[in-house]
Amino acid sequence: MIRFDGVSKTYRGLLGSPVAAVTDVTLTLGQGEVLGLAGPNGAGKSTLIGLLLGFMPPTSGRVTIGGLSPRAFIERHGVGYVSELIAIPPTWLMENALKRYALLAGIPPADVPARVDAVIGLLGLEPHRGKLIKQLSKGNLQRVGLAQALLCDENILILDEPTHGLDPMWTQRFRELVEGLRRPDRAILIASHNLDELQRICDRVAIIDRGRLQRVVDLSAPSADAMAPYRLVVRGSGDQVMAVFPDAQSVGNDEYDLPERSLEQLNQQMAALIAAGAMIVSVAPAHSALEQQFREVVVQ
Amino acid sequence: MTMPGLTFPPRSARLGRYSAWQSRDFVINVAILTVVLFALIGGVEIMQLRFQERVMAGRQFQRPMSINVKLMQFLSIYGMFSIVAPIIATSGIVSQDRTLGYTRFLFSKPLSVRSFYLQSFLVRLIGLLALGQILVLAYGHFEPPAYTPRFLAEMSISFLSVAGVVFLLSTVTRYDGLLAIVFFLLGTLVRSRWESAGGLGQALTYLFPPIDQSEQLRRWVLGLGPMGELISPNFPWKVVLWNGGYGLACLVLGLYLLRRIPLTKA
Repeated sequence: MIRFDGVSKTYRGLLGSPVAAVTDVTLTLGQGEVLGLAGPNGAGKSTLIGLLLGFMPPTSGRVTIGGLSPRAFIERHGVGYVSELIAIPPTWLMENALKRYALLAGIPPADVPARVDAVIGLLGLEPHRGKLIKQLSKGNLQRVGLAQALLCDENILILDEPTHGLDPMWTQRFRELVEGLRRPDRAILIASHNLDELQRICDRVAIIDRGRLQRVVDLSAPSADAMAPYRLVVRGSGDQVMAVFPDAQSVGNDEYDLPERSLEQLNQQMAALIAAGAMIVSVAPAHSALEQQFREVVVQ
Repeated sequence: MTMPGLTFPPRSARLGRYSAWQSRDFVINVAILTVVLFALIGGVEIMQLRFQERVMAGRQFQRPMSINVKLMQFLSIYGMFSIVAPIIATSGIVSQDRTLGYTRFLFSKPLSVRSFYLQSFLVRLIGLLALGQILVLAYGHFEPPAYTPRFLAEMSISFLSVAGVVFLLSTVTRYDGLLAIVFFLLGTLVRSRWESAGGLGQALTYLFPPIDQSEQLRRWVLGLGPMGELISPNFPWKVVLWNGGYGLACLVLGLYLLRRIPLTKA
């Protein structure tokens, strides 16, 4: 559905020197898939999204959506898009802003009020309906940005830092929303700094660093022989832990770091620990699979 | 060609309906300022004329102030409106959206960039024409000239001449309004200096539209000769074609560039 074929983008610096924002990225996003885009600041995530929206042409390579150039596709079908910076004229009323975007999204004028009411309700914006955009807090503005992207039943959603500025409650609500937006004929691209968020929402995550695609991480369930470090929390059973896990390192408060091991090995050792009468509070991967891979590929 | 197996129902923005919002923006951002500015200038002008008439009556002049003197006074305000109002109306038409990032949400919708800005240009043209007619009618209520449809023709041509240049500048720079003023002033300076000089200097004058000569069109509207005499001047085809053509060419070039420039600032 979405393809980046050997895409590069080079800007000209102030003195005319070339600055490579994105270099030779090849990536696809299929229907029904939720793809994350992770990377440190300045990695090239927003440039990739700008290229995908046709806001600028690539220096080389090709971006296509449904086989068409991005502008050709968007001008014929539209996409749902939330930008990292929510830029809406500050003197527009919130409700009117959504009415305007609804008309531009191609919603029949008779259906506009109902659609606007629906997204206002969905994103809890009812108390802010009559406020000017400039009167909204950052979190509420972010929700307006999400609301305008959800006005129409788009087949493609591009969300650039969608939870930026949202409070924990709305961050959680956003995750539920995205789960609800999953559909076999819909492709969702989410760029975020928040690896935990991407881990929870996405099927795959593309890690970008210094403009290059470093790795695409498949977040389907890990295999039993995948190696990972874990953190174990017990209640006053230190001796038993050290007996079963001789390589464990205490980090205080009855917590232990377990070096890399397979899931199968972990389960066998946990069975032994329980049999030894230890009181286990929790055991979990020390880093998420995504975080671990991110650490491996991103040069600090 | 779309990918086999993928079906996306085509949609398009309700751009015609959106013109109501663009008109509202025009009223709030342009019309109020323009009306206040030119109502003040016109009001002061009318008061000055009335004052001069009272002075002349006090000095026992037998004849009232002649109509062509009044028309000459009006001509200066009229010229200001024809050139300044289109700059006010179209300044930032593209550049503001790009600079402030408003293009991001606008152009993720099923919407042609060219159609959107062409409609925005036309809304401003129609709005300013309506405003111009109202201001002329209001002025004519107190002092000459009487309203004639020729005002509509002149204001349309002036808008195209001036706003076309502003539109082109707006696609390439955020300082479009300021640069348009510099451009027209520079053009006037170059033309006054080298128009009859021959050689390279004269060739340079062809880079600029003869906005300084657009007064010929306004004199045609008011029926004023070069010395302020009341006549019926010929329609100044050459000036109209030069200025109008230049503005139209700039508008077309601006629309072309909209497909070539980045829609957002990097």
